[in-house]
Amino acid sequence: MSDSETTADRWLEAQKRYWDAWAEMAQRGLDTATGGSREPANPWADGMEQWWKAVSPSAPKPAQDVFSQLVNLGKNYFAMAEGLSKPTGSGDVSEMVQNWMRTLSDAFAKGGQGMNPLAAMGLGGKTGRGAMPFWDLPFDTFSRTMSAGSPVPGDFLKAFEGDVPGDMRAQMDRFLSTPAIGYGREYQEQYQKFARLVMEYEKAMGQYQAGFGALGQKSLEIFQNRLEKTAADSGPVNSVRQVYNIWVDACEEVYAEYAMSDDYAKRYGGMVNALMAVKHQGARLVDESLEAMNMPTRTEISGLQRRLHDARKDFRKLSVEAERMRAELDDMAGVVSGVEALRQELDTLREAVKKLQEKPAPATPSDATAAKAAAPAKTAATKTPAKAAATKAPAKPAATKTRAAAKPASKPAPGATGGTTRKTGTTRRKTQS
Amino acid sequence: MTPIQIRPDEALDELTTFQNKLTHGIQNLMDVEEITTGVTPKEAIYEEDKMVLYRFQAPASVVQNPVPVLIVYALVNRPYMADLQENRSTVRGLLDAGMDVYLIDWGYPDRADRYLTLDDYINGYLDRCVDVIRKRHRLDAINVLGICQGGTFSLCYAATHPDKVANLVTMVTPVDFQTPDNMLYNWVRYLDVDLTVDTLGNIPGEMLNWTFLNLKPYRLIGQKYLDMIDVLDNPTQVANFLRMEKWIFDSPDQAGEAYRQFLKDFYQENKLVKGGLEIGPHEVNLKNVTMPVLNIFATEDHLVPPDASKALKKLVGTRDYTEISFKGGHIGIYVSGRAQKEVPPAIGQWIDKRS
Repeated sequence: MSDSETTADRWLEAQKRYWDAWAEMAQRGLDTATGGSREPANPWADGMEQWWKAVSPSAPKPAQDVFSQLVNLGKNYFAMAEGLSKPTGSGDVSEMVQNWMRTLSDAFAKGGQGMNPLAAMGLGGKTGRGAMPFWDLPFDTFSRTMSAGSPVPGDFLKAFEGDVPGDMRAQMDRFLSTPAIGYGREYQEQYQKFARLVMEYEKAMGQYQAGFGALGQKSLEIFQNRLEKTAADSGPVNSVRQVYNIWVDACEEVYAEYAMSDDYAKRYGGMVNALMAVKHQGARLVDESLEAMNMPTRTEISGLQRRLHDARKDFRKLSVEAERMRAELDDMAGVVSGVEALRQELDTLREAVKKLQEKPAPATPSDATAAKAAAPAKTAATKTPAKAAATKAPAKPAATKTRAAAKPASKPAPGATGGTTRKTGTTRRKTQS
Repeated sequence: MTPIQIRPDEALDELTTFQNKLTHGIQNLMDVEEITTGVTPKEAIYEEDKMVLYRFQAPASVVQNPVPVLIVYALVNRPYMADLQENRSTVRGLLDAGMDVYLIDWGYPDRADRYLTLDDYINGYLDRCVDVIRKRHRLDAINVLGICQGGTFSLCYAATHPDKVANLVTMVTPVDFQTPDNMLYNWVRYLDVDLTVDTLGNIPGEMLNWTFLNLKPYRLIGQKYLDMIDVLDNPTQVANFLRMEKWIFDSPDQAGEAYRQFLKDFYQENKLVKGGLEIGPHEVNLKNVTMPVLNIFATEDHLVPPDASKALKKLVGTRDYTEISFKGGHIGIYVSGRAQKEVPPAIGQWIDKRS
């Protein structure tokens, strides 16, 4: 049997054993809810908790994280069901709902945890910060990095978590503003600055969280309105899931309105900026320590990365330029060979004309035809041979040919140019052949 | 009348069912094998640094349009969203519609890529991919399909290299970054972007995940997982759910300099609308987008509100502008059953008409 099969079997066996216990506990919970004799404080949610404690050790590792999240959600969900199902002294259902809402309202009044989206989902820590690992990450990493050889040990930061009384904060601020003196004054100043930034961040985070607290009551009102509307439209809500969904919708509505406000934008921006300032200063301190140990610093590595990037960009630009120049050279090579071909053609024609001139013959019709055939190929540029041909050939046709050839150069009408170009080409090919 | 009327025994029944599904669901979770994504066979055509240009294998039975389509995906998240699974694949739909499909995978930037700028991405990688395809197909211009942030990049590219883009399709693409319903814009208004990038270098993918989840925290961090418990007894649905989870949290880090410019120029200063946007040596003016444009947006999009996309109509220079409004969200436009039937065929027909 493979390891995974063994694990799976153990897991299933654990579940099976627990399932009976769960059924019994759930029954106890029902007894309590309906006014039975025994009464554990939160039997259903506790049942969920106990179930997970019993089976999680044998759960396969990869599934544990996923299931922990699901169980946390389940506990909240169960607690909600419990609140909705607990009888009141009078047995009045509306009083039961009111009691449940009052409980929620109290939770909001205690500092806004009810509106912290993550804490409300059972994922938050005591202050809700535990739910935002990203924002805590710099503290953890910095604490680890700085715990050795630092005049401000990592644990020092822990002291700033949670509420710091106003007068203590002021005293701390005064203490951190004491002018630095002596041999290590530069270092001392840097650490003082870091500590001040940490305090500013704590303040900004507190303000950010406080923003949520003001929303609790509002979300409760919306929730109540939505419940009433649902009940009016389609009858009373009779499932826990339906209540949960309406609760989620109400919270999303209030949250979205707040998250779109200028107030939220300022608190959020303030919190992130304050955190970045802490991290930035922290990186500077780390760099100074690394430099003292003759180690490469982050700033140095970033500088090298930038230079490498710029060099690669320049290299690519030069490659493109080189490619373009190569193409141009190829074009020029084509032009050179074309010129060479024309030169040879010209030499041939000159030779032909020379022969004609050296051999005076009566101007027969066949000579005139030969001259006419040669004339267009010479074009306007080869004026001398054309003139020579014109003197020997009948004047009119020769003059017409020359104009026709010269016209496109002086008047580049699209049709005329194309036509002429094609005509000249044909004539040239004929001449060459 | 009291709005809630839940009898304790009914509540217990509900919770027992819930608990039952949870405990038995673990078996299905354990049976789930490696989550596969990117299902359509493809071939790497061109690679540069961490970027890969792929060409998807078309079904032999379909007559292909001779002008290929290049899909330009966003830098955030991974492009396999366009080819998530067999029956949820925009890529497959486009192939079936007769398109010859290429796709740019930007890869996962690390610290070596910290100084990559938008100029490097748009006038560098993207332009070279377009050139590779043009050369392979001996074409002057190809079709470009930009998705989300990739749509914004495609617009910038089409405006600065209009001769290389035959037709432009933009899907859920932000153009006006400051519409009143844009939550992301509100969140970055007071953000010191320079300090953030100077401090973090590359922007961690976790930070983006946190941001996106907090757009709808109760739904995305809570309700969604309760819904998952409902389907835990169905192995296929569990696999589909986990596949989507994988994609949602598969967020590459963002190259610092590109992120700096994107947040400052697009979000904080809205230069694509207001003007003055420069990508490398080019000034981006959407009036230069003169090729036919198809703009597809989702009516329930919480990341890119419809108005943010619809702003394109008044800004582009083309006279051939078409809009498609898809009833759904930012993700549903690729993966919902209705999207498979509506979106890729519509893109195919629109391109065919202009070929």
